[in-house]
Amino acid sequence: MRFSLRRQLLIIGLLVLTLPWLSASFVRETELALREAQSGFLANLAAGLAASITPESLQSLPTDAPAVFAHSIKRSPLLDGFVDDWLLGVGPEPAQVNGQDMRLLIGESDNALWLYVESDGPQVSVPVYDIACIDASDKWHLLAFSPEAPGLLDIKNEDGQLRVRANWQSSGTQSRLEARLPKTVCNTRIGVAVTVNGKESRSYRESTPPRLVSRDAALQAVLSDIRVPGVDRYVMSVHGWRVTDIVGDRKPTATVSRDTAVAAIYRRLLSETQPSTLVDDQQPQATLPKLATMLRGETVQLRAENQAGGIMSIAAQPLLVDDTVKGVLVVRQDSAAILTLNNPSLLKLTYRTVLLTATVVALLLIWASWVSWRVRRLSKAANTALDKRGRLKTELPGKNAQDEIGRLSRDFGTLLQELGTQQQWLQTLADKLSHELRTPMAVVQSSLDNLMSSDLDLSQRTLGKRALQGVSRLHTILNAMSQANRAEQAARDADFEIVNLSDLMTQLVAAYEQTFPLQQWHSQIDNKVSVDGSADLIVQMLDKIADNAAGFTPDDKRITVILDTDDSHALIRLVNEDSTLPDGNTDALFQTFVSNRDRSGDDLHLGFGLYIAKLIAEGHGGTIAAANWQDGDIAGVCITIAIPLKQA
Amino acid sequence: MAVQATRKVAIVEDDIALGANYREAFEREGYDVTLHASRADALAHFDPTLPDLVIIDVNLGADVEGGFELCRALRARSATLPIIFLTARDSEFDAISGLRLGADDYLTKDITMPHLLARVAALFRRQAVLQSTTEPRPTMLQKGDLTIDEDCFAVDWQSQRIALTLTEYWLVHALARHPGHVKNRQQLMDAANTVLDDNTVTSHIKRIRKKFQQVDAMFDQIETVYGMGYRWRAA
Repeated sequence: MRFSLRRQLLIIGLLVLTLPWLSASFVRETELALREAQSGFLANLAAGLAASITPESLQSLPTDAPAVFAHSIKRSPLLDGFVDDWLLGVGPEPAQVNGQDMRLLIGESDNALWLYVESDGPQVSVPVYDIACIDASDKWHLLAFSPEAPGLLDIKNEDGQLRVRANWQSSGTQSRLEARLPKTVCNTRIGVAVTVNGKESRSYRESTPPRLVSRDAALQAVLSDIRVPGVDRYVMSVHGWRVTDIVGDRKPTATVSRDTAVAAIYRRLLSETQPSTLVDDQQPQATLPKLATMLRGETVQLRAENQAGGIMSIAAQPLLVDDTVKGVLVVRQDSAAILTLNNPSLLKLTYRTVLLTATVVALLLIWASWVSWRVRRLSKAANTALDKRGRLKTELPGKNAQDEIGRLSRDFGTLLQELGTQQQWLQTLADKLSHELRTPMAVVQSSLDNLMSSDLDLSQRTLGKRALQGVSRLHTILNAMSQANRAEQAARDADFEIVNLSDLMTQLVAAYEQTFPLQQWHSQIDNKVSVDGSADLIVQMLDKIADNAAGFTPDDKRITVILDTDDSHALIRLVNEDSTLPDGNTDALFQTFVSNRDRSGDDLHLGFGLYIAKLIAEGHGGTIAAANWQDGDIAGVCITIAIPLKQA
Repeated sequence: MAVQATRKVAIVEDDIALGANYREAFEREGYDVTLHASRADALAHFDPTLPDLVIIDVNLGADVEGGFELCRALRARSATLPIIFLTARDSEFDAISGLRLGADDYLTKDITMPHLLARVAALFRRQAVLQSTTEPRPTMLQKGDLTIDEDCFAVDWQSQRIALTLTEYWLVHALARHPGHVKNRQQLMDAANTVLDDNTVTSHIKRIRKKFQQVDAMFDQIETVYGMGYRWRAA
């Protein structure tokens, strides 16, 4: 693939696109640092607050297990057999024994304990409820009853201390009991068992009912007394239940706008800052999964997402009394303040950076395309400046531009001009040289002739003969040199007539067989191929090529002459076996003074033969080319001449 | 070759050494030679009496076309004076110009001395024959419509004289002596006492054909045998 200027610039341009990513990384780093600072602050705050809570106020926190939690009910509900009006946000939980048939929920209001039992059984069967309470003085209160009909019922135990007012409802296979119990007796432990059709479900496994854990008003008061602005706190029992209200001046958390693509991209870039947990105030143990760690007395820091979509930093500090964890103090703060992602100015900056970067990349690409186009145009012009006839066009595009490319174009132009002068000089050199040398040569020739006519002894005569031979060879060279010029003139001035190439070439091949008897001549000549041209010149051209081919073909090898046609040209091919062209510019073969023959032979080869052939081919409006040839059993160098066919 | 009396040959050549060489060679052959370096010098010398033969270089120093001018002047004074151009200018155009001015031959300077002397001798022989009309010697060669007078170096086609230069005459002679035989270029050059390149031979043949065609439009006796040479069509 070509690694063009445009491609290179595209890659550089793409590098610019990493700028937004870099800035995002920077933002993320900053946010991480800020968050760590917040976390540390919260941890310290939690430790400080924990220290200010006296052991006495922690005494009342139950730590035994098993335990059951009484949710705080703000307003006394209607006793109607439905749990919806408790407004807790949580539902009943399956019982410990035979949980699939019974679910239980316990609540606590200012003056009463509330019980909600949901049980399943056969349609007609009426459940038997067993309630066991233990009061603060470890006295047991037992009550067993079976409702006679749906609706309200009032029952009490034998000593009358456990008075229960309840509403029993039954629909199909499900029975629901909503009951209100006196706090005076049901304040330490409570357990419920339900027997339906002889099958018993129990809320506890052990012989004693589970410990009742509920809101601790004293602790609540202690927490409320400490004022820390912007920070929420509450205390959690060792069982993971929140035993105080959430205390603090909470502001509503700002929600993150997720409506734009750029924001989404940024969110992705910052994705590792997103917490996995959700804040759930009703069931904090779900959001604080490191309860076990906290119960070993360690401080825990984490982050959670609240229901509004905001992020909170949380620190949890175990509350110790004599090295025993009595509860956990949870301190938390909204992260919105440091959440840079929410900052609208940052978003705006992001938009602008991306837009600007894209614009810069686009402009760079356009500019690169333009520069690349100019360079390509110049290179194409430079490549084609030398036409097939060796003439130069020195006009290059873009030479008026003031920049480096314009200068390059001008420099190219100057260079080409000089090259053109050189070329012209070279083209006429041979002719000029032969002309200028002719007179001094004639002086030498005539002097020698005179010398030979005088009385000379044998050795002088021999020397004279050698000198004459040398002069004769010089004449041959001079003639060859001027011949090129003459051939060009002849090609220009020739009277064109219809030439039957088929006949002409048949005769020629027969003649070549005699002239070059060492090679085997083969021909494949199409009938009735005629062109407009000069037979003499065409013969001269073919003579040169045949002579050249014979010179390159080893004895007894084949030279194949082919004449056929394509759509508009007569194609003359001469293939000489057993030779190959050197790599590189084959056009150079047709220039003057280019000869690939080794110099060992006696004959002179100045490289005019193919040049003259080329002049004649072009004089006929045709082309000449050399190439390595492989077709069937013929392999070698092929000279191809294409001459336009006679127009019908 | 014996030369009776002393024939006067004038050489007009601006190159002193070359002129001296020619003079020496011609004097050795018994000719009376005068050497002139410029047109003015030659004309001044020719004023009372013309020489018997003039050899002219076209380019006379600064006088680039001086040879042509001189030829024109001499031809105006004598229609029969043999004039030979001997020049370094070998272009087809110059040769045609020179011959059109009435020169008997146009030679390039690379001709060897024996060739040149042979030509000069031939020209003198022709002149002698032409002048001695009293003694008709019928050394004629008859080939169909072609009649060759080997003494006068003259050729008739269908009884009409074809005005040929010496080179052209020798070419026709070489071809027509053996009709049907192919003569290659080398053989033709040897016959014409000259060294020519392929293109020059080709243009000589072309010119000969044209000269015959001016007399007989149907003339096509000189046949090109591609790759070999030319032949005179057998009758």
